[in-house]
Amino acid sequence: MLFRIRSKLLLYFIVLVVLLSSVGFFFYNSSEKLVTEYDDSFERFLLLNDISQRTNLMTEKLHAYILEKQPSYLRDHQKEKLKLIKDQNKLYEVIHTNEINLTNYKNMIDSFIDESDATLGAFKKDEINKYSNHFNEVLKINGFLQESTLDLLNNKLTDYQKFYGQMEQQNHYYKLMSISLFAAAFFLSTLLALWISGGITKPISLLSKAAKEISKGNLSGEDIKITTKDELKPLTETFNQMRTNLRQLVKEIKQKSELDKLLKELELRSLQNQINPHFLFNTLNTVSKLAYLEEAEQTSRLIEAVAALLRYNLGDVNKASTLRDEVRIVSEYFYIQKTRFGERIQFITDIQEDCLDIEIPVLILQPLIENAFIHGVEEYEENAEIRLNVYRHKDRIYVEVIDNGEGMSEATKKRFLDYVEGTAEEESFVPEKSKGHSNGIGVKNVIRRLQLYYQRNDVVEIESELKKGTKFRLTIPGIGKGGQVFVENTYSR
Amino acid sequence: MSKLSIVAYTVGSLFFLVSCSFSIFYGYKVVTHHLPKEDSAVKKYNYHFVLVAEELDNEYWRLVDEGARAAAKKYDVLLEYAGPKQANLEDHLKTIEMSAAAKVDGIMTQGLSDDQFSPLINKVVAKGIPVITVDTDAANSRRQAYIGTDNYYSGFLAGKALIKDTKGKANVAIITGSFTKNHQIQRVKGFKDAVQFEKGIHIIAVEESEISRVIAAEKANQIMQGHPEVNAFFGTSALDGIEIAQVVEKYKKQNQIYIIGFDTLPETVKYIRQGTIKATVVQEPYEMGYGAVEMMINIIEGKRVDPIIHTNTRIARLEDLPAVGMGGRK
Repeated sequence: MLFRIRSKLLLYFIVLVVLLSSVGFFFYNSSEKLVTEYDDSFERFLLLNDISQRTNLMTEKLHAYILEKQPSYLRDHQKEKLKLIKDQNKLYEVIHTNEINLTNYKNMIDSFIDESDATLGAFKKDEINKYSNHFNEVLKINGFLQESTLDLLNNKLTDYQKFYGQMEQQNHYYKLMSISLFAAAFFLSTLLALWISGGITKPISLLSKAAKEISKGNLSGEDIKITTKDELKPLTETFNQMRTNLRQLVKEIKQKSELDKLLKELELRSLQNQINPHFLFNTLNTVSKLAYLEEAEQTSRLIEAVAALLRYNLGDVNKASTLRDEVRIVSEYFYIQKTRFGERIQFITDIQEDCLDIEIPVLILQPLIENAFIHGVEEYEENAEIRLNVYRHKDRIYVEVIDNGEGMSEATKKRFLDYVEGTAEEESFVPEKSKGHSNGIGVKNVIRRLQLYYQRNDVVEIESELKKGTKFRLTIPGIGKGGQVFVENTYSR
Repeated sequence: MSKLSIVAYTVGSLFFLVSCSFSIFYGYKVVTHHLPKEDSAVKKYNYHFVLVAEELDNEYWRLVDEGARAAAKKYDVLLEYAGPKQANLEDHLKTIEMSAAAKVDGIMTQGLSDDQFSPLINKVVAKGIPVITVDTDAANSRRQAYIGTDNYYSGFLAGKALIKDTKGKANVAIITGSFTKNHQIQRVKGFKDAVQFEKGIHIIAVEESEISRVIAAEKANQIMQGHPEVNAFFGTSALDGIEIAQVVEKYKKQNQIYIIGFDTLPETVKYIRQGTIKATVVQEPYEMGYGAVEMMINIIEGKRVDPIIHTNTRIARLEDLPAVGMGGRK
């Protein structure tokens, strides 16, 4: 599945937002908790203060009511009383303690309410003695309450001091933790940002670098490898594919031009030799007929062979030939040489007929035979031997040219093999100096043309041993005519 | 990866790790740091009693409190130890009133003076809060019971001891804690009654120390100057004997003057060992406190209780000291 850049970025931002907001929430929560702690502590003081003020107010209202008998005072008194009872209940909720002081305090409030109720009751019954007694009690208890309030406040404040110190300490820890948490979040998001941005920009920078190389004309270089799986992956793959194709194309173009060059070389040779060939052929034919008429049959036959050889050599080099033609011309060549050297040299052919109807480039066999003759056996006074074998094995056709001559030195052989392997390209286009009386189309030219024609390197095998002889074996794909179209195109220019 | 980005990654992750471990460390601190919580476990007690002492920081009353506390623990009673920081009658009365207003289940106090204590005790009892007098009785009030020394008898014992030790011949000066407080009056009365028929014994002065060391010393000094013939002292409150001993030592007459004190405060014991104080009256404050709480529970639970229970009183001399120890605890 493609992991898109967009989702990557989205994920990053979500992580960032979640991280920061959870840190923020944590801060908010802790500060809220602290405020609540402060609040709770403070509420107690307020409550105690409230109660003491309320009892004061109640005492005042009670007094005023007794003096002035106005029902509004009584109402106020009752209202305050209800509030006092509520505060009293709250006392236990707010202050969780087992202290005697607080129990006493609460009971004192009860006593206070009881006494003020008793005062009111007596007042309503007009029992002056009783109500003044009760009112005195109210005053007294109010005094106690004020005192106890102060006491309690004092105690609570002392407790609170300790509490406050501890809370400050905790607050300090909170602060340090918050700072380090913030720092951690900051560094984590920075790392994530680095990672994600690196993941996006790295392939892009690689791509742009490679593109720059290409624009400079350098097509080589490794394929760009990236580990990400986002949109950049197909981009990179396409880029790599494109470069490979380009490279292939350039290679093909180069090969084509090389083939052209080789052919041009051939052409040049034949042009050099094309000194009015019709005149030469007609003359040779006339000489041949004349020799025949003069009953010099052998001379006639020899001239015929020379003419055939010449005609074939001066023919259109752009046209492909068949193996049969090649073999025929080689036989003519053998005939001429046989006439020249007589018993000194043996030509042996072993040819399977059904292999001959196959297209091969022109002038392939003759240079090889010439080479075997010139470099192999020309020096021999006797028992020189040149073999030509054509046979089929599996779907390939093998053409062997074997001599029992000098053989090649290791260096020469290696040079040939390197050339065959295609590893010694720098000297590929250096035309060989013609040696002796070869027609100059070198073995290398033959090999290269075969390679280009069949688009493969393994067309030639060379076996050679010094003083024992040399064997050239051409391998021609029998059925598949690879490169046919391409070569035809090239030839038909 | 370029060198720069490797450095950035390393430094970033290093900082991240450091800050992460810091936040974990402080987070742990925050979690383990406990704010002092108030003891929210509200313990239920059967009763809530108040022991009103004459003076909070008084060895004698501490012992009473100790006894009461032991009993309170046994019977699961919430005991409150209250009273004036320094002996003060008004504060003492106010403490009782406040306890009454706080609706405690029982009050244990001294019945110091009939005039001021009796009406208050009556009022408190009328509200339904039982009152037990400890150490000093307010016999005329409606207090439910009394537990403590028979003060008259203790004075009487002191008188007898003095007669015995001086062989019936002495000019005695008495320094008493108070002329108005019942227990002091009773002790002086008992003493006087004991020596009444001894021809050789003359009471030449009776002074009041107001349960203050400074005044006690002052009065002893006055007597030493005003009555050179004095050769015996009786201090009826715990502090009086100590101050007398100090003054007598100042005059270097510890061999000529016989001193008998009250209670066994550490200083008293010290003077007895030195030989300045010859004898002291030993009370049982621990027993008083312990008994008072038991009695109070019995009263609340409606059981019959003796209205007056006297704890032991003895005379202790130098030879009795090891057995007497600190304040006569069992």
